[in-house]
Amino acid sequence: MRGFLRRTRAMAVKEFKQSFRDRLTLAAYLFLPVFLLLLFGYALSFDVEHVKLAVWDADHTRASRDLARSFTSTEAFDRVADIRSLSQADSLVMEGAATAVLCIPEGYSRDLAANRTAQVGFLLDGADANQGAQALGYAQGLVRRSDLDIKIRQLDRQGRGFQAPVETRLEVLYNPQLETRLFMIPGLMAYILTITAVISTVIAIVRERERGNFEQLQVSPARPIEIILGKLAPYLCLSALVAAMIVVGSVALFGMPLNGSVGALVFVILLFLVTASAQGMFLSTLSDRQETAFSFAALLTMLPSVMLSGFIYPIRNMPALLQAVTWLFPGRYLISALRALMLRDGTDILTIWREVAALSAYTAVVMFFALKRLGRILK
Amino acid sequence: MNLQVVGAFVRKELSQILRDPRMRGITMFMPVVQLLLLVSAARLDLQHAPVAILDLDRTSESRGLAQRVAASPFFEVRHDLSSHSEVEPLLREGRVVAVLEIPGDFARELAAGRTAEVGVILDGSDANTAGLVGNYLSGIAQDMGMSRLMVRQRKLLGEPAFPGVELRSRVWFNPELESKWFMVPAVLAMTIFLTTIMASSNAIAKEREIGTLEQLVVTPLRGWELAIGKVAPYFLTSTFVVTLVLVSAWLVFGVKPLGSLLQLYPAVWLFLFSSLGIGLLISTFARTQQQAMVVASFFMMPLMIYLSGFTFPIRNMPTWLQNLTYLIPLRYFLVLIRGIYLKGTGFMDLWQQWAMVAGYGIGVMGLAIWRLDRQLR
Repeated sequence: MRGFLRRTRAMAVKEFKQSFRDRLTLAAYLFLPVFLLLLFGYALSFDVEHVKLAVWDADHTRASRDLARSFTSTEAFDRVADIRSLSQADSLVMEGAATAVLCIPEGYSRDLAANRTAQVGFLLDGADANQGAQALGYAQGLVRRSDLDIKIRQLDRQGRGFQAPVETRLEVLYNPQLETRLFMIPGLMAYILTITAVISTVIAIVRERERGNFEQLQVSPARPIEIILGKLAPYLCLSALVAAMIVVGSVALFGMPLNGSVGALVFVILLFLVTASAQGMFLSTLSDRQETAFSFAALLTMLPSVMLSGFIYPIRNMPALLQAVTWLFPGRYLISALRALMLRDGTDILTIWREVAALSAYTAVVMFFALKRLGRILK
Repeated sequence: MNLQVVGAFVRKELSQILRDPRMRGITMFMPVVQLLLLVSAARLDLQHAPVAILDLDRTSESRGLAQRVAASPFFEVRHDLSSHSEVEPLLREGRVVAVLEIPGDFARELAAGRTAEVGVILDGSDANTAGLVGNYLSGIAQDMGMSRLMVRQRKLLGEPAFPGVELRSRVWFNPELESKWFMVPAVLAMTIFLTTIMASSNAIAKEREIGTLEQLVVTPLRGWELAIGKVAPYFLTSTFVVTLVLVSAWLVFGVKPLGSLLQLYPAVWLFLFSSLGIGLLISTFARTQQQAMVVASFFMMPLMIYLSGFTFPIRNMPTWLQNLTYLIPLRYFLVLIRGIYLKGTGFMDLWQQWAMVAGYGIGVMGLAIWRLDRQLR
């Protein structure tokens, strides 16, 4: 055991010196979390805001102006043009000068006065399906609201001591301001840690394989497991540092709450780092060329950890088959655990036992195959 | 230019790329796998959101409201609760996104013509979903109240009609608002970008690390001829990949470009100048493969993924950042390829994007070749 520790430490010390002598690489590893944290905290949003709206008001009455104003008084729509014909609407949307057009036909207020249901048109550029669906939902909500207001006014006029029949009282737990960035920071953390831990592990191991250094290491007294542990130690420390940077940064800069158990938070992050290293170890057995191994690692982490982890797009919205595929990307377990532990009150290790169990099982399986294959390579 | 020498070098590079079966798989088929996986993943709208209902009233009125929620395509009622103490654990474990609470006096208040108040308790940790759930649940409750009220008014007054407004919507380019139409061109662009920038950023760094760059210096190859040899094979492989992706998107998702292929392929080739040029430029700075790969994956790829409009609309960014996105070649290419795929826009409609993609590509490739040429003197 003492020999094991001594040899592993020797390996780690050498690896520390070697890998962090390269300032450019170190800077790149540390740039990523800082850059993305600032970007997500201050700049990125997928909320529907400032959709370019052209208004065609053919009615020119108070009622029609009221309706148009109900659209433009929100953050969601910016009134960019007033138009006078349908062909104008077509060309504005085609050029991309407007994303949506609200058409209030002539006779709108006449219909209302005659107790009929007036129809208004809404044309939408659906090229961006997500933004489009949200903008459409927003427009429907606004018109429904106007519809209610109009009906309520009519009932009032009939003077029957009218009161709105049902009101809803919304109570938002855990993130009362509904801040999108608080929702995205756990996903960001998983994204950054996946890339950092997987790619650094792959590069560290395959570089030695490509140069043939493992043959030399075989004649050293260090055993394979000691070599691997020693090689990974600096990168695990680096990833842990990155994780700490993200947690501290998001708390200090964006008021990210740590409502759950901090011990459980640290535990699940460390567990995830082991998972990601195991993934990296496994990937590094697939090729002895840096280029190939790195391409595997980048393609398996870059896009899937954005799109298949629940980072941005909810997993429950995916087709069943794809939902099954997401089990293969461990980021999803970390993200749901982090959301629980950071945002929700009174959460602890028991709340996230499913995620912990899944991560542990995943790690065990991947680590088993990784060590088996690495052992064969090192023998 | 010595065509024979360059030709031989291109052939050598091509066979080197295709020799390794794993590399062949990555360059050729990984994009298709990514396409199949990622295209149907990107949906932000509300579908089957798990909710619970806490019905403290247990009357036909309260059950009517619960049924309306259950019948909505947006929700899936997972739990039927009977006490307040069950609410918090469900939300905390993330098993439901909201709880609709119908108070014990719901039917009584309705019958008396007073306002009945229903509660919606939301899990705000998914802010986007919570916002949508709040809106839709309120809408369902208000609809129910309104329709009851109108029924009653009709009974009281005979057949009075009510005024109202209705929205008739028409959606251009993607009538069903399916995200696949948006994602196929985007994933196509993204995978081409990722595979080519990875390969080219490694190209020179690898020679330098192994020590074969010195050998290349003594060959009759000039710097720019070396660059051509390094990037030309990727024009061939990328053309193959684009074709494969086009066909599989068409067969699997039924998505095929509205615009002309005579625009699509040239757009891809022009864009390759940018992505290969950036990679080659990284390669001229990197001393080792590790540096090249780390710079490509930790600087370039995140910049491109997040600032190109791939997932986050550029419109929503603050102005200073919007200005920064003009430096991202993928931004122009995404507009181009989405235009060609979805709208069938003509060449003239997007001439600015064409000009930017072309100008960027020539500029960055020129810079990379110039640096390479100097290094090989």
